[in-house]
Amino acid sequence: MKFSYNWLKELVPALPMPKDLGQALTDAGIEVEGITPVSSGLSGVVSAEVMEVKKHPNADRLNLCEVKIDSASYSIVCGADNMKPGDKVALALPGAILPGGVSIKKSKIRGIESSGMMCSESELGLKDASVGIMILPQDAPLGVDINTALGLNDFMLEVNIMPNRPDILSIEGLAREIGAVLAVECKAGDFYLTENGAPIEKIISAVISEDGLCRRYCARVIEGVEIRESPWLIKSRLKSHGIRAVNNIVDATNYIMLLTGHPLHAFDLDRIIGSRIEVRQARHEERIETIDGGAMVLNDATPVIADAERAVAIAGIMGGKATEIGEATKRVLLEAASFNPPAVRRASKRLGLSTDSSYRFERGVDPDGVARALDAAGALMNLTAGGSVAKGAIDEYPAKPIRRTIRFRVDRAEKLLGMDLKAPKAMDVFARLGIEACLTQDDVIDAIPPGFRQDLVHEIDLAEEVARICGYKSVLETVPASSSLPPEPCAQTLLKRKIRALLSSDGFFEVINFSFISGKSFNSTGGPDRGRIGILNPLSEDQSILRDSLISSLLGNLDLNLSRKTEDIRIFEIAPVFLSTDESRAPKEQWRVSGLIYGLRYGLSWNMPKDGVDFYDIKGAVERLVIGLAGQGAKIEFRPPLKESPLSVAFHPGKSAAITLSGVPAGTLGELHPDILQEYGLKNPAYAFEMDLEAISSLAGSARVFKELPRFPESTRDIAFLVETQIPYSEIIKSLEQLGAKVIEKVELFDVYYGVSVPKDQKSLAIRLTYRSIEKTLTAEEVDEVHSRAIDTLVKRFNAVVRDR
Amino acid sequence: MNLEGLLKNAFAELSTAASLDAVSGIRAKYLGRKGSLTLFFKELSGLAPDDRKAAGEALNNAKNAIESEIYSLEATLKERGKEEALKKQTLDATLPGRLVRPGRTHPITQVVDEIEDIFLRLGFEIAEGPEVELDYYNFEALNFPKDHPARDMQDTFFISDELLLRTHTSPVQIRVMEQRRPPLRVIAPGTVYRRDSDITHSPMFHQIEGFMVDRAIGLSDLKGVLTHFLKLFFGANTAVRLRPSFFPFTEPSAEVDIRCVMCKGLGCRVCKGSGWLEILGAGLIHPEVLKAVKYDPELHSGFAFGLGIERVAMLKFGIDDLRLFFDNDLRFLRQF
Repeated sequence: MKFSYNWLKELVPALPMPKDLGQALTDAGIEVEGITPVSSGLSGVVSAEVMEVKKHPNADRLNLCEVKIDSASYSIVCGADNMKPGDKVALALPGAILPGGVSIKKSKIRGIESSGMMCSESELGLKDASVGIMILPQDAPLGVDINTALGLNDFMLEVNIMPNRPDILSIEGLAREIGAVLAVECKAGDFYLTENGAPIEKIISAVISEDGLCRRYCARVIEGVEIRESPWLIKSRLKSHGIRAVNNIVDATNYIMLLTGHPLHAFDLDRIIGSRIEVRQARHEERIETIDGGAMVLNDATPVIADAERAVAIAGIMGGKATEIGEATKRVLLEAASFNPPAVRRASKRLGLSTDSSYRFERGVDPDGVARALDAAGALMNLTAGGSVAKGAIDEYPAKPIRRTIRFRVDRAEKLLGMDLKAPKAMDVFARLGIEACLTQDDVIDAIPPGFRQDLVHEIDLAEEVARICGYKSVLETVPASSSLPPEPCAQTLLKRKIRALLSSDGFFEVINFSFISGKSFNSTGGPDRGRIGILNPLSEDQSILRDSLISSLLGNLDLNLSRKTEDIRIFEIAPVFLSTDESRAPKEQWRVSGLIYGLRYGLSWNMPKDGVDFYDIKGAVERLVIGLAGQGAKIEFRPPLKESPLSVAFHPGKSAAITLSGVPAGTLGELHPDILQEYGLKNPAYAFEMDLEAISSLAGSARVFKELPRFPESTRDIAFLVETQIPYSEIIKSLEQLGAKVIEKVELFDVYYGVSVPKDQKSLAIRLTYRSIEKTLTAEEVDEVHSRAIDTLVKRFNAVVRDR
Repeated sequence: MNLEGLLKNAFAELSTAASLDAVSGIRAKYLGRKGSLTLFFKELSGLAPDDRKAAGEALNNAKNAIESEIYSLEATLKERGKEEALKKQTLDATLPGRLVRPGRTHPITQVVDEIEDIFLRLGFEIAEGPEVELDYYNFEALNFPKDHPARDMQDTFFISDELLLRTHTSPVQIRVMEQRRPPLRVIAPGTVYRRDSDITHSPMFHQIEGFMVDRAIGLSDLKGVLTHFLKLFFGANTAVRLRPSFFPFTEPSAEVDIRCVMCKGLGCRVCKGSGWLEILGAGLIHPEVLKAVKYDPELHSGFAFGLGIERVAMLKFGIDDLRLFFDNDLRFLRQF
């Protein structure tokens, strides 16, 4: 909220300079976010002294004055005659700018040159109307810019007021706070209301027809008003606080709201039907046209102000058009109230209508201050619009707040705050804040906060006030003693850290993407008809659905990098995905790790092959990750993709695989589906994997057991053979390993060949078998025996044709 | 020629021999079958037996001297030859190495790891919580009543009436405290969401929550622990100040500022001229929050803090645009 420095200064005479004030308030928790100078719109006007006044030789009604600034003297033609030699005046020299943009030039008036103009208060923008020129105080310094001489330049303080401090949403409120923080005098605005009209009960009455709507409802009547523009000061203050001036009646309500923090509303009494105001809930689908021209349909949980027939205002939010103050208004019903904060907030949210008034009501308006604000506004209206104020006021006050006593233990506060605190210090702080405090026994204070401090409820709230006013500087720095031993490390954190370390050392860059994606991305990277978790109030359609796979986000990253000419890409992300569950309960959050590769395997390099990545690159990455986590003994298998997995839809059905770890499904990898490649306009295939962190986590814990190093020599035999393309290599290797687990140490594939010299639908494989026993040196005959069984197996089970035997 | 002259000549020739060929020529000249020294040996037989012995000894000495000189010269020349040959076998060591370029973790992750490590050393443990959160944990239990304007402090994405994307990591406080009893020292890093998007706000960002609950934890403990952390993270000379603030779930509440790392407090664009940077929100856990998890506020107290990772990462790396973190442009990611 914005606050005028000059206005504050009226209430706090000892107000420090703006920058120091800002610092002091910020230190006390009232954050001043900015201080902006506001120009008066005047420039080139200086204080000067009138030396001589004589008649204009050619015009009876004009005067010719000699005016002096220091040693320079000016002849000025002037229409006013309220000045005399020795008076100090505001002299606009040629080039001066007056409010409204008027610029002053040298001119000849009736044959005599006038080198400037002596200004009136209205010409300076200080008053709306004035008679004669402005005579400055006798002690005004000469030759000084008038803004400085009269303190016309203002500063606006931008203050961030937290929701717990509605009591400072006003000039008086902030002034009061400044008084407490700086321990200086603070005045309240002065208004004298004269009741000289008919008794109000003869005119109108009010009733609150339901509990919980309104804590207090007050009203006054002013009859015989004259609608016109507000005085300049009011208009300019409204403007600098961001409120548009309307007319003297409406402006008075807003001005008093800025001053006191109490929103007020003025109705045209002649347009109120009947003689009773009712505060009630709106009727079902009750309609009202608001003063901003909106047509609102209300429901039965919207508090309204109603006359005998209809709602005339949405309580605490906005008035209705039908009873708006207009040029013809003669009689005003002025309302001040304290509406129930949650009721106003709910209505404001539902209607999407937030106003200066609702902002204050939903934060809480002190019911005790309502009547004073009403009187202040009545007095101001009476001053600017004339008329007579009806005797008495409506005052329905069903919910007088109980002012609770809070027990404040000095020693406990001292402990919790960690600062030196004695009872007299606390008493002093309470006094400054207007908290009634009584030291009942040693170090226990019974404290009753003032009505406007609705945020002070608990003992700790008072402790905070003490710390705040004393300054957090006085809080010591201590190291808490530990009463426990350090805990176990978090397994999930360790796992994520390990995965990040492995993938990044494998050339992958970590990315972090938004959890929400567009409907289109959602549809293209998963099966149809799967449940989706949408955001009710997304910022845009692009961010409207919680992702259930990381792949579409990685594709987005690929797309962005390609557009920026980074064309060889290895990226990964670790994040939860959101899976809808059957119940309408919270979605299941499943942590995943996903990677994507694209472009050249080694980038563009002079000494590396310039091959594009392929399926076996992404597979290798997954294998290295798993081995890195679990060691060589990891049980990882790649099986045909699962049709029922929603993720498999994102992959090429023939060039992808389901990953299992120790037999448990853990994810998918492979080439992305050609439809996706086309959708993203990719020239080359992209490869990706996505795995479930929980499935991986079982690996990380697997113990590594030492196996004795072999003591006997090995012998190796190679076999090259042809088999049908369809036969998976994993089947072949499995059958060989089963064959002689004790003597076949390992099987290594060292060539795969298709093409010339290999029949169609066949592939040529070359493997090396390593034979070794842990018990003895194998003889050539023993090796040959197993080896020929190996060949038999290949021939019989897989119909292999062994080459170069 | 006498033996002495021969020896002198042989050494003179050896001293100028520059190649192995020249050395073997010298060897042949003196020690070969018709070598001049060999000829002296042949003359021995003509000497008297007494003279022969002395002359033979002198000849042998001369021969050994020449041979030994030749050996050492040959060794030197061989070594020199090898060095010269190796010198000719060159490559361009400035060509790039054969490298599979390593990747990197995200700068946000790097900052989280660093912060986690500091608090782990202080005996904190790490906890996690869901990102789709119940209204109860995100607001209600943290003393944000329904229909309270404090909720406006955090614009919220809703999934349903009761479910939302957590707006801060503070719900983890409640989840941990519900299940455990003090003493607790916990940090909870994580992703959070607010319905706000402009140059300085991202709808998704990262926070670290931390809290400590024990008997008699006070505001001074908060100040001590956070000052220690900030000095470890930003440097030992970092000035720290606490300012009163408001959060519904702490009382007293504080903003924790550090002296601007850019201008050292002189005032600049980054600190908006104030010389200070807001780094953390913190405070003593509100008694209502302790009551919500069935702790007795008279018995236990604690402090809590929350820190925005992106802001800290921007300061640490001098990044001026928040959006870079989520663009995932590799030219950006490679820099960290």
